[in-house]
Amino acid sequence: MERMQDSLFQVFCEDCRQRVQRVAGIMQAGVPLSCVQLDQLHQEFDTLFGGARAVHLPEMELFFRSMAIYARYLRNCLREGQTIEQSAWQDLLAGIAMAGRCGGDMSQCFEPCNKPRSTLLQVIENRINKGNAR
Amino acid sequence: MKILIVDDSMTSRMLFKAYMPKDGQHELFEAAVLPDALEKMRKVQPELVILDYNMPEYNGVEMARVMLDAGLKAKFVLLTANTQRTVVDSALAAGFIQVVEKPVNAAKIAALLAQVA
Repeated sequence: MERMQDSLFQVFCEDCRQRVQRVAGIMQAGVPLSCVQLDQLHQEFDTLFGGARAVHLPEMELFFRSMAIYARYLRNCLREGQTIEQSAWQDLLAGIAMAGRCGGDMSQCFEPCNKPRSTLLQVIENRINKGNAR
Repeated sequence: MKILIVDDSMTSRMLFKAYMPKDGQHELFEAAVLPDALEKMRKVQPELVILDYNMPEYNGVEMARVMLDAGLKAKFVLLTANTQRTVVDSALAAGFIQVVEKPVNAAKIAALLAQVA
């Protein structure tokens, strides 16, 4: 069972690296992103959320889920014709940068990143709750 | 029983494989994208196709429709972390026999296989 969990964790790490690379590729276009690009980000983060849940990493699960929700939220704002201010994009970029650290050495990412991750998630949550993308 | 799992997440595919009963009664095939899934369906003709919902380009329900339109027959099961009513309804309307909530475990897979057998 433990061996299976180890193997699963290694597969998740590889999955995470590949998806974070794809996310970085999407971001190369620079902000503002299009609705299609935000949908792609949502898909990548949502899949990572499922993977983190499967390997029992609750902090990572919450982080990727929140990033998926935030990407979807920004997409909806954009679709409704709202102007998204620079700081809202910066929050997304900060989250992607943190995900990028997970795409490097995973073992050095999980614990040390917990505090900055939870701080960012609070900012994002407040932004969503206030409907504040502009 | 021949089973095809279609999921772009390698973690999810491996989890499914790990929890499959090792009784020699089932053969599991994997695909990550639609073209590969279509090819495997034609080649191995699985009785059961398990599709993730949230995938790039096509979601699991859309993929099943493409498979059916291509004349490929199987029992379809949707695998998803998103059990919103709209998702479940769209799957059942498309002919899926069941929706299984992610993450899977041994009990969920055993129950699914017992139902399909």
